[in-house]
Amino acid sequence: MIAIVCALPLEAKEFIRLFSLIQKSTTTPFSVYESDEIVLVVTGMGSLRMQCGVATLMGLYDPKTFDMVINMGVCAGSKESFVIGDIVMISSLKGERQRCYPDMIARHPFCEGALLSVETPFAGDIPKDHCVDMEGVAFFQAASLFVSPSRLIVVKIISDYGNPDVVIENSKAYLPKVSDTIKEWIVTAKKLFVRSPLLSEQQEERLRSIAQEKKLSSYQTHDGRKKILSLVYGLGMSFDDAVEKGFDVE
Amino acid sequence: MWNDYAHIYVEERIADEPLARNVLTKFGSARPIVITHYKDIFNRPRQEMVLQQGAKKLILAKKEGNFLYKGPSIIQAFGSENLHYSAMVLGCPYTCDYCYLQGMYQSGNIVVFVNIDDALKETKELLKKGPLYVCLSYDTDLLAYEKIFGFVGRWIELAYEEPNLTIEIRTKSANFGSIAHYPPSERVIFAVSLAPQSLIDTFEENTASLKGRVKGLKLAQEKGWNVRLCFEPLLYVPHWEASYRQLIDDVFAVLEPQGVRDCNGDIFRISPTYLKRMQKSLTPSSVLWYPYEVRDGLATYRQEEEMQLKQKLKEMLLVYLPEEKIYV
Repeated sequence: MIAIVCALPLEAKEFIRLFSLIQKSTTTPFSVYESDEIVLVVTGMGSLRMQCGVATLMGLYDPKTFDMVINMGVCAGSKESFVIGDIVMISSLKGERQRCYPDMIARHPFCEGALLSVETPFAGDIPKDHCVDMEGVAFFQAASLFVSPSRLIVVKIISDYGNPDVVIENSKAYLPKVSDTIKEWIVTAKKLFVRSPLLSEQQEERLRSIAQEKKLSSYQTHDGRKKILSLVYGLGMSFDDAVEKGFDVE
Repeated sequence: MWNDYAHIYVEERIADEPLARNVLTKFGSARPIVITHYKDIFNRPRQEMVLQQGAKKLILAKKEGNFLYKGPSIIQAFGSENLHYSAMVLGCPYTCDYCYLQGMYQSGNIVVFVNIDDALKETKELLKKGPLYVCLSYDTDLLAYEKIFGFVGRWIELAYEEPNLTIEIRTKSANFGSIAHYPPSERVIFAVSLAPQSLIDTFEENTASLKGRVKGLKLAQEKGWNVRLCFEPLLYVPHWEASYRQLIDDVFAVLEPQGVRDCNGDIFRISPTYLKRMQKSLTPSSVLWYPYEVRDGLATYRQEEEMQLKQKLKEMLLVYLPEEKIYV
C-alpha cells in the first residue's frame, strides 16, 4: 500500500481524482481518502499538524503495510535552479536543528534538490538547488518513527521563488499539469518497494489455525514458524512437510 | 532503481579534500549530497538493507579515533602475531548472502574514510612498539575499489618502507591488475577467497567469477607473488563434496602449487544476533535459513558436518600442497 501525505487540500485534490480515492469516515481532525492500494491524508499547514497527521495515519493503518510513504506538496524554490512547475525529488532535508536524508532508491525523471523546512511562510532569496517548505522535515521525522526511512519519499512542486502571495494561484495552475507525471512515477516506483513475504497469506493463515488448534503459546508459535522457514528455505522441504515437522511440539 | 553510486554523500568538512574531489570526478554523473556526519546516514535506525543494496551509495567521510583494531579470535592468523585489521571502508561492494556485515551494520551503503594519511601515520606509530600483521579487507573488499581510492597501493608502499609490517590483501574481485605493477614482497600477501562457481552464482552477488579470481592469482604468481588461497566460508550444501573437489582441481589446473604461500578453510560461522537480523530481511537464502546450532556463541554447522567439510577439504588440498601450508 502507498501512503500520500499532503499539507493542503489544494495539494491533495489532483491525486484524489487521479487515484479515484474515496473519503474515509474517521473521528480524527484530518481528512483521509483511500482506495484498495492508496491512502491519502491531508494534515493542514505547519510542522505540528504534519506530525499529528502522520501519527494519525499510522494509527489508522498498519505502518508495516506501507510500501512507500510520500510527502507531496508545493514549495518555494531557487530561481537559479528551478522553474515554476518543476517537480523536485528531495535528497536532503534541513530543519532548525535536524537534517534528514531520504534513501533515493527509485530512479526518477525529476529535478533533485535540498529542502529547507521553516516555521512560517517564506519570503526571500533561496540558495541554489534549494527549496523551502513548512512541513517536509516534520513529515520525515514523524514518519521515520513508524516506517523505515528507506521507504520515505519527499516530492515537491515549485510554486514560487519565495513569494507567498502567488503560491495559491500558481499551485492551481501547475498542479493539474504535473500530477499525471507524478502518478505514473509512483505506479512504476512502487514495484521496487513491494515486499515479498517468505510465506504467503494462506500459509500464514494455516500456521495461525494450527497454532490455535494445538493451543500453542505465542513463543511456541513463533518457534514453530521459524523451524518451518528453516526447513523450507534452509533444507528445501515442501511447506506441507515442514508444517508437520515444525509444529510437532510433542 | 538507481545504479550503484548514482548519489554520493560527502561530509561537509572533507568536501574540498583532494581524494574526495577526485572520487566525485571519477563518478562524473553521480549527484553529490553534502552531509554533516556520516553517522547521520549510515547509523540511522530501521534502514532496509535489501532496498539499499540495489542502489548503493558512497558516503565519503573523515575517520576519527583508531584506524587499526585488534583482530578477533575468529580470524585465521596463519601463525602470525599481533594481528590487526583496518577499517578504511565500512560496507562492501559485493552482496554475499552469508556475509556478517548484513547483521553488523544498519545500512547497505558504503562509508569510505578519505583520510588514509592519518591511518598510515597511526600504523607507523604502532610499528614502533613491534611487528604488525594487518588485514586490509576485513569489513570490505578494498581491492575491488583500488581504481577509485588507491588505498591498497598506499599500504603496499608502507609495507616496503616498514620491515615490521605485513599486510594481507584479501579479495573476491579479479582486480589484481590494479596492483600488478608493485614488485612482490614476502610481507605483502595477496589472498583470494575461492568458492565453487555454483556457490558464487547462488550466494556471492556481483563478485568476480571463479575463473576471474583464478586468473588474478595466476597473474600474481607470474609476477613473483606468493599467493594465499582462502576456502571460506565452507558451505554444507547439497553435493558439497563434488563441488569443492571440482573447485580445487580447477584451481590447481591453473596455479603452480609451489607459488602458493598457504591456504585456509573454515566453515560458515556467525553471531546468532547477526543471523537473526539477516533473517529479518526476508531473504529466502538457504545459507540464512539452514538449521544451524549455536556452539561457542556462534551459529554454525553441527560438529559432524564441520568435521566432514574440513576433513574432505584437507584431503583434497593435500593432493597439491604440503601439510604445513594448509590451515584448516
